[in-house]
Amino acid sequence: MTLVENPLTQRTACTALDALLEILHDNIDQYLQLVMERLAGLLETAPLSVKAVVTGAIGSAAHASKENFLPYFQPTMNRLQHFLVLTGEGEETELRGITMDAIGTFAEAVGKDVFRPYFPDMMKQAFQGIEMGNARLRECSFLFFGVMAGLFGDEFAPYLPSVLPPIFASCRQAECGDENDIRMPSSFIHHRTKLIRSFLWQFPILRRLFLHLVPPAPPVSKR
Amino acid sequence: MNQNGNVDIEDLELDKMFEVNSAVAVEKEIAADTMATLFSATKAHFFPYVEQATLELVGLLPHYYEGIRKAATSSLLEIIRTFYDLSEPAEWQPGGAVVSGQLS
Repeated sequence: MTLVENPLTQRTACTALDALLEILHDNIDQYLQLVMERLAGLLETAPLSVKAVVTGAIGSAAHASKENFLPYFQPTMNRLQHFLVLTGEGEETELRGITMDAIGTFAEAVGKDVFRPYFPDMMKQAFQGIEMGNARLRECSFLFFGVMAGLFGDEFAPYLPSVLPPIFASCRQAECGDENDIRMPSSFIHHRTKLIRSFLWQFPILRRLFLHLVPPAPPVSKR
Repeated sequence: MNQNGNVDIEDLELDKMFEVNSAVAVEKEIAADTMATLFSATKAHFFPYVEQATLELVGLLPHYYEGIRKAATSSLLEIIRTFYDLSEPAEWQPGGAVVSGQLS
């Protein structure tokens, strides 16, 4: 817990805490108060990137503690709501997405009757997330819709006409931003995309090496 | 562009190429999952959309990203399961006596 307070280690410490909380199940009860006090404090003070991890950890705490999360639900919602209106790129997007995920988890933990007052408002936020033109935010909104539908059942039905068009559109969108720009040997990218990508991004040197092995298809014409 | 500039462009192109797939592919994966979740949660309310949802899912089946193929397949199965639930199926009863020699 001291590591969570130290700016040098808090990000990593919260990631570890998140993983731990996720598997703690009922055993979380004895730690819940302590954990929530510390994390709630960080939501106010920590830098954005840490807030994202903290929010994720709170989501895990809610998931593990189920109805015991109830006392913390409302105060946490009040704090998190500010994150749902972030419109910046990068860290802000990440925080907004994680917040959406966490709120879905809270809803499952506290049940539909407690969550109902927030339901219409959060749906509105989710729709706005779709409008932001960011794949990650759309993903979080879709997940949120799934959670809400599971929770509210018939009560979710009025939203279907506005929920489905974006989902259908998502299935049909092209995956290459500029199709004519790049033609890679498709067999190469097609498999293990994520793996290769994360590798290359971590090691610029590998990225270069890769370039030598597989030169960009048509000679790079300038833009 | 000088030599350095050239390298930068290559890097940029490569970045863009990889950026391409993962974020949007994961989004599609979730979108595919969500359709079945919505159907099984809202049941009959989903009927007006079920045909289009099925078509979209079938369209995703040959996708090169295995996560999407898996999501689309399991969503289609979930749709079948939900339809079965909605048909008010009679409780399954063990029965159907096996008569030996019948299959000869």
